[in-house]
Amino acid sequence: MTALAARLDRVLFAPTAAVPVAVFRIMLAVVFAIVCWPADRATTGPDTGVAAFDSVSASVFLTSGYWWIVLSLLVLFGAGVHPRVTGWVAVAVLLPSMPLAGRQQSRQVLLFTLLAFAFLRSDAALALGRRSRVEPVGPGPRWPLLLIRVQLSLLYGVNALAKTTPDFLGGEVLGAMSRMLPNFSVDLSGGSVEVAGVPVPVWLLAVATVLVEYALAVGFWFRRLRWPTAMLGVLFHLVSIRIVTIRYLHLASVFLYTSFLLPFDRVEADGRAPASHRGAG
Amino acid sequence: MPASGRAPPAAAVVDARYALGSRRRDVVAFVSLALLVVIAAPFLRVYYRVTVAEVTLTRIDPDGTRHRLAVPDEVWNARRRVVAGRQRPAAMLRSQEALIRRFMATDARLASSPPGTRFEWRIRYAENSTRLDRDALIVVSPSGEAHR
Repeated sequence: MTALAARLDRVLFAPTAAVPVAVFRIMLAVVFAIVCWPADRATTGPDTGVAAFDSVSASVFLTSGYWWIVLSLLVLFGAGVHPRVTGWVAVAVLLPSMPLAGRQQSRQVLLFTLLAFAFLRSDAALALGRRSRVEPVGPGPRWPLLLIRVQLSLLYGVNALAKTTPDFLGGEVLGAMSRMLPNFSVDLSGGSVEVAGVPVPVWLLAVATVLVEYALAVGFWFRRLRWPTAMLGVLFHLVSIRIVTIRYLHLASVFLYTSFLLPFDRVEADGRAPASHRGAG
Repeated sequence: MPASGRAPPAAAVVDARYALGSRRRDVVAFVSLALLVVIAAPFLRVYYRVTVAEVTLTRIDPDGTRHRLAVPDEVWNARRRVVAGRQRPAAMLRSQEALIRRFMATDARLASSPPGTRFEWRIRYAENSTRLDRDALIVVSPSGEAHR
């Protein structure tokens, strides 16, 4: 095995620790339930443009029975009752509801997170229906978490990239959006906004937004920068909330920081990986 | 090893290194999901462009007198503005024109207007800008005919 292949093997197949994986599972179930539950009617009828599909799906996905089924699956998943089965069944049940209008991005982020995370045997700890044979071997390899981390970077990266245009960086798009979109709570079309009593040009706000999003897309991948990046991200979302309401995506994004921050690496008491993993590269 | 010389059943042991029991299956799953997340990434964009638009309605009497009228909610209200904001200008104009045609086909004011009266709908718009420097004009004649 070449050095590169060995390194790749370590990255993909390093063992994960049972308790952090279980904690992530519980948090994922809670956050998913909050984001998906149509309590404030933010989720509305499908908007695919295909009338037949829209009418059939509206009579299914906008019924309380459907959401109770989803919630039941998430509760079982969070409780660790066959989390692979309940996780993937939840994905299958939720997937057809993706065209529903509202919260698409946060639902997409969490759906993929659930799909990838369910590959882990997350019932190795903190689970009601824990299978004894799972306990000694742990939740499994790290690659599902790696995918979740990649998605977080893509989330910030594609948004930063899409905004890296003269129109956006000049502040024009922010001003226009604040005029046209109802979830902007501040009118930026005047060219400046007051922050703590100081007028800040909108172009500066736009440039700062893009720079922070690039930093959040990249910063988590450097171990020493993880906590500062997370703090920057939380601050970014707290400030953003005052300007634009996309609360579910704020919640989903900040939740995914834990995929970098929780100590997922499984380390034995002697500080090395379990014997079964040595030699894996 | 048992006295019989047979190895213990391997199926009872879960290989912790792999999520799906073998390296090959794990790699296939990883690559498939990695492709999926990359392909789906463009849908994670929240805001990257916006169309700003304003609609005005003017009645032009047969003698040429112009009267500015309130734009009915069915054609241009807060909800429509949101849709316009998220649409490209061409799509916004298409949907707006369809709304105007539908409205004028059923609205009583057209039927009760004296011959020669026209209704002029002006849509001023811009993409990614608050300077509404482009416009589209839809004129509806008493016959119900609309032209741009």
